Amino acid sequence: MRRFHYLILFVFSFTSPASQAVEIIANPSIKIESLTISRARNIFSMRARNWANDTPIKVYVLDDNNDLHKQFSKQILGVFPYKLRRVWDRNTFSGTGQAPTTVKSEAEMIKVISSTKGAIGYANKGNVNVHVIKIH
Amino acid sequence: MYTLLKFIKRYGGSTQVFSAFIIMWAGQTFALDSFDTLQIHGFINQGYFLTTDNNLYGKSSSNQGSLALTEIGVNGSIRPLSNLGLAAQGVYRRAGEISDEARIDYALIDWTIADHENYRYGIRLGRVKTPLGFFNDTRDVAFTRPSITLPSLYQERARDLFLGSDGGQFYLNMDSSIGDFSLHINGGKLKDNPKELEISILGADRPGELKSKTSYMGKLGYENKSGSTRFAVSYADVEMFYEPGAADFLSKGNLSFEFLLFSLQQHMGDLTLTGEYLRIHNSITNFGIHFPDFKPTSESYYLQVNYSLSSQLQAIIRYDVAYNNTDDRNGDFYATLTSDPNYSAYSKDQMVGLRWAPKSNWLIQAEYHRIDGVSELSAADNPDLSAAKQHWNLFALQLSYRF
Repeated sequence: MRRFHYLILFVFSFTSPASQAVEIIANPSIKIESLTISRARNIFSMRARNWANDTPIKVYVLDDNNDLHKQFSKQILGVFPYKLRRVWDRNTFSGTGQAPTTVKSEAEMIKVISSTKGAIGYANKGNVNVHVIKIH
Repeated sequence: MYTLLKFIKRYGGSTQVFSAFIIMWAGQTFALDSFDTLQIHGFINQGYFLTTDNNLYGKSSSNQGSLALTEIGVNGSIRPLSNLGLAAQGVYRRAGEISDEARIDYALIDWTIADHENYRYGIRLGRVKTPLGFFNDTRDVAFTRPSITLPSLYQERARDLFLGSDGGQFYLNMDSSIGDFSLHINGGKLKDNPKELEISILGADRPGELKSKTSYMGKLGYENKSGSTRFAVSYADVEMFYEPGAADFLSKGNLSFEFLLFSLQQHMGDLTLTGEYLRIHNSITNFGIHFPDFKPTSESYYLQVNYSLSSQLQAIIRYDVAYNNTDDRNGDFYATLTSDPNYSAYSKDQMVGLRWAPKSNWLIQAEYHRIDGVSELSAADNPDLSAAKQHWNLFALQLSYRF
């Protein structure tokens, strides 16, 4: 029984949303509340191109070395930042796709996402007046 | 569009109003929905090479070394429709005596036929990059290369064959519970008249020209979800023929190169292991009585270890080998047939390097190579290969920027 408790604790510590300090945010024009993890991966890998209403998806990210970007990549997507970089570089330099737009700060991210139709990105938890999209 | 139609239904009625809306809509679609998707990116690399003997990218064996490797690329992409993309890249490359030219690196139309959550496939038409191994389709971009000089299996001599093809590509991406799979199959014509290849195979710049026939290339790739493991198998069947020139003692010969390439990469914390192995079945036939048929098998492989000293700095070691003919690895037989030394049939390259990215769009690399053998040297930079030195060292520096 005790072992079982430990197991619960273990699972909890890896899956609890409380351990994640970062969340996906999107423009309010995107009328969805949640995404599957594979859809989120496809969006940030630039493979998914359109929202269900045919609006182009516009992806915004922070610099590869930004801590929030690393957290987002590993904790939310479960992907190492170098994999995203590899995919974006291949897209950009072999003509097979596109790359997300890099913004300079979290403040700029929030601003550009709230003003750009179809935009999606991420921010620290607890920002007010942002449209949060959950992962299910 | 749907909202607009509702709007027209409600407020418009006359055809004039409707046409006005259509014109506005078309304009808006272009201005907002499409033009908004326009992306411009590019890169610039400047290299410096210093060698003890033999030349790499210019007169690197001179006292002051050589700055003659400059690569500049600019590309644009746009998505005019949700399932349609257009992309093109222009590249200028100066590489010693080998090249000093601007070219269209790729220019294609990309049609996504099916786009589902777990798989998507489509075709690309035009000039399409060749998917071979981990690094070929972005081989001119320093940020996506494993080092300043590519491992020998990416054959600088046969670079023209590797760049891309004029034709089409079928592609498929699939996500599964164990990871992502991708398939690319290209068919098309390669660049005609690859001079370095002609010299290396026919022994000199002959009066005629090598020309491409329709060739096929494909790559099957796997990557786990996190991206820490990736694996690929690539295959290519490159078909060419020789178009004899005036007073040519060679006849209209055939060249066929069959590539099989295995690639594996594993990240383990600060450590990254990369290994690739290539075998090529070469077939050079029907060049006439003065040039007997030959069908050697070439082999090339490397193992590279990257260690992250910090998030910006990596140390690299690599061992890289190439054999022109697996039946004659030390080149003794080759030396009896030609005026070239036996060590022009292989290359064994030990490398240590540093890779420093102070910002994500700046990269500075430094490398030191100890090389035994000269099979990878270019004929343009080393006109007298028979005088090449067997053991030589290379120091290389490269500064790169991308946007």
